[in-house]
Amino acid sequence: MNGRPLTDARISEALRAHVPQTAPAGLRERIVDAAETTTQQRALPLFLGALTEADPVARRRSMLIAAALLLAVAVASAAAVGAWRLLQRDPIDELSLEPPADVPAFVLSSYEWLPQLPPLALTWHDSDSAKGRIYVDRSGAVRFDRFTSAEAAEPASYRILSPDHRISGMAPVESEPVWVEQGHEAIGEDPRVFLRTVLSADEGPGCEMERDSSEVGNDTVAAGWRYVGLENVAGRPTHHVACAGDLWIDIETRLILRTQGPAVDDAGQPIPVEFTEVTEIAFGEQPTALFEPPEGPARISMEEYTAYICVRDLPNEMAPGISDCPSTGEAEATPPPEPSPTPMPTAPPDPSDCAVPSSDPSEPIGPLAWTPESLKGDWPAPVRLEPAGGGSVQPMPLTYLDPTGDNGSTAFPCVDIRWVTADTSEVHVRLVSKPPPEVDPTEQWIAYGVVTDEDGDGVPDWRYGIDNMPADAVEKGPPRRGWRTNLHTGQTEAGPGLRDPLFLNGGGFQSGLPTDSADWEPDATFRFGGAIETTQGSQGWGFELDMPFYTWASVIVNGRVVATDYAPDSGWLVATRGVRLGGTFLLEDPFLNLSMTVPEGWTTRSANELSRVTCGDLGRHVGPDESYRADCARVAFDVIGDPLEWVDPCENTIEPPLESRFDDFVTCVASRGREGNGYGGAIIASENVTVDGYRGKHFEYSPDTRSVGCPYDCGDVWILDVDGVLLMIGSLPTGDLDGDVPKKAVKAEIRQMVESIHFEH
Amino acid sequence: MDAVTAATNSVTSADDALVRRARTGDAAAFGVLLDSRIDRCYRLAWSILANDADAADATQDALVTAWRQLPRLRDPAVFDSWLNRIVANAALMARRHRVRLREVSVRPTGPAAESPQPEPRQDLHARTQMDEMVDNDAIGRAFDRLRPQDRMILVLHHVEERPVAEIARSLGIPVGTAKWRLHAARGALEKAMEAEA
Repeated sequence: MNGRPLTDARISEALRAHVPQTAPAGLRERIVDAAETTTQQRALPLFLGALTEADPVARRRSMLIAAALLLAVAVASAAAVGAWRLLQRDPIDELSLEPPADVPAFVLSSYEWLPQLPPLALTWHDSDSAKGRIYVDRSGAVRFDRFTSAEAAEPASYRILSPDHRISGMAPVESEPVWVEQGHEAIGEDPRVFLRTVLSADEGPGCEMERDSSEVGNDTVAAGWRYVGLENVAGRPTHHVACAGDLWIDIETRLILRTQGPAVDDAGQPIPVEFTEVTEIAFGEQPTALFEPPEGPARISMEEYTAYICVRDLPNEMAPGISDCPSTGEAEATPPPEPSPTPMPTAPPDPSDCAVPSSDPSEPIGPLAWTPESLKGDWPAPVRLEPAGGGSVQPMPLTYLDPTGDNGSTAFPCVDIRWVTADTSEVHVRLVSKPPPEVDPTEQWIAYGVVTDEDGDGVPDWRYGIDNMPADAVEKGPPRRGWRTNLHTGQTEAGPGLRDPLFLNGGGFQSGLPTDSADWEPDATFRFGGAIETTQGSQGWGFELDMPFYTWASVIVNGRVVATDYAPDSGWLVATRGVRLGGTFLLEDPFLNLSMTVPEGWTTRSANELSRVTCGDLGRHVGPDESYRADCARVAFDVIGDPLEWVDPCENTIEPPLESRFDDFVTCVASRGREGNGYGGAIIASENVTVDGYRGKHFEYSPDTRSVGCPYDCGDVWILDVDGVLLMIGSLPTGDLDGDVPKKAVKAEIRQMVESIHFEH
Repeated sequence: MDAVTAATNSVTSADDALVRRARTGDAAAFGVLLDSRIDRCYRLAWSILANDADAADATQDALVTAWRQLPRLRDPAVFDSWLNRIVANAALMARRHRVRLREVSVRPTGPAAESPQPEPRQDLHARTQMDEMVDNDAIGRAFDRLRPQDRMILVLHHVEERPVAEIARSLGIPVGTAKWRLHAARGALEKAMEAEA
């Protein structure tokens, strides 16, 4: 071991090298052979079960009843099915895996069906190690991304073919990305048919892939294609067909997913096989922003772009492989355009809890409106005013609860702070709601941040922030800019807010906006230190946030600050490395809210988990040099939405099915023992309990039936019935504590926490 | 609605269609489903059994069981998590069976008992790769020391890159518990590495 921390990437890399990648040869064939000779199990309708009745009288009666029922069902079904089939044909029924009866027609359909291609995104690679991505919009627009290498994550250029028959896209000009627009119609067909520019095969006599509309009655077109077999490409069933080259055509959409050239030349000599293959494909609506001009980059016309590449003999990124350059001597020496960022407002934001006030055109714009110059500037609103002599400083509790509704505007709950959690490396700011996604900063300019008092003199020194403006001209995805400002000099450093981490003159922080994922809680997150993997091993970055700080949220509309919140509203918080003060833990589940008193030494690990991270001499502290947190005990809260789903491993063991949620769920958990109680051990004790007036069951379980030292090595599970909502609370001993005394103390702490639970209504 | 429109408007994935067809007894459709899953299933079984031959047998048992019980799968959309569960159960059953066999074999009841039970054969290909990377070797050896349940969840998350929600469905546990088990498995891996060092 070289002492590097055990990161996710490191585990993944090692396990991929350790675990065999492929199943043994022949296993698949053995399984399919076995399947073909194995009868599938089909459940009989219940009433037919009586036909196996041993009593002949009962059996005869059952048969009569069954016959009558079957007749009635058959008549009703025939009528219903007939009516239904008139109304709708199930597209799944159309998907036949049988070889196509007419192979040439099947091949020709790969072109003819393209204009009906549904929205999708696909990635392709070819035998020259080129890589591309294609997006198809429901409108028919198609975006072609090109990458400089197979490893590149971001496209070097892209072009968009629109339903209005125009071509536009992003291409490098003097190493800067520039938006290129065609001022007139450039294509005469549905943009989707141009997928053929990437996915097609060698054509020749008899190996055509499309009909020539000028020919009439040509029955020999595509006649040379022959069927090879049913194969899987990119997880999709395809028919493999061959002629001069080979094609793998998606059975459902007829999209070509793989093409392969011939293995020999016309003289019969072996040649390198060329191929293009779709490696990933996903059907579904694509983000509209993919097909829209981005904010920021300079714009030039297609004619200007053509003149630029022709003078320098550069490849045409807008029409790969096609040169519109005039012959030598005719090229116009048009000077390259000067990129000049001209941000454009995006579409109005989607409705959200944060309202978008209607702008009054007659109202003058205030002095804080967003402009392109804001890209490198500090948040324009003033920092919080501090009292003379500095405000109070309080140690960081488990959760700092901030009053809500105190930001100056009820229209902006997305800049209303509910609570703050922090240690010396991270700060989480929980908001009342998320901001609208991708809102234009000229409409609503929203920011979150942390202000620090580095020398503890009560005067703010640095303002860290993240907002919804584009970080630079080439940023992809939702705009977000991270920055820090020296409040004494006014100097600001800014960059993409999602860079990991954002290095700023040796310091640094990493941040995230609440809209980064639909599944995330409305948290703004700031990380001030940690470890990253480099080729030289693990390196620490950033600094410890062991100084006074406060958090803030603010929004500017029409050039004026309309809502601001601070947490705390006055005074400062300070976290100390290794010290974990207790406090209030809030579980904010859609079905259940609770608060609970937590003793010192514990911290929140996630929205539904608590972790004891100070564990005496054996506990390891969290610091910037550790990317992995150790702990000695954990408590997790799970609201059981659907007991039937949760107890699925009990299927075939619970008869009758669950009816009374709590009682049957408890019975099931108790019966599942070592493998099935959700926590991996044998239940060794149980008792009825009451928590905050609600009934419950407490189980004590051994993490391993071989374990010794119970009860202090044992975990606990509580199942509570809160007005019909089932809450499971489980503790996991991680074994980082030696000796019964600390284990007993931790178990007692967990029990006290559970007993302190108060459910919010 | 013509065939073209019907097919292209379909929002149902091709996998769903394949599951539906396999459910009606179409072995070819089942074969296509296997193409993109058999390696994954094998790795999952291997993570529990740590033995090539046993993993292959368990994978075969599991997938034939899946074929037999496919008509009882109500929702094709949960096919993958359902399949993972069957594979995991088959591998765990195989492991229990193997343990019992070894317990019997050590009894001095006959000449066969004199032959020592062979150690599980390791994957030579992976060993060769591991020799090239000391770090990976240490993690790999530590991985072998873990409980099967820990190995399984680490493989699902770190090798198969399955989302935690899908892992939770596969194991029949809440998402929070899956996260928790993943954390515990990771902690166990770190401890095993310390023990190896």
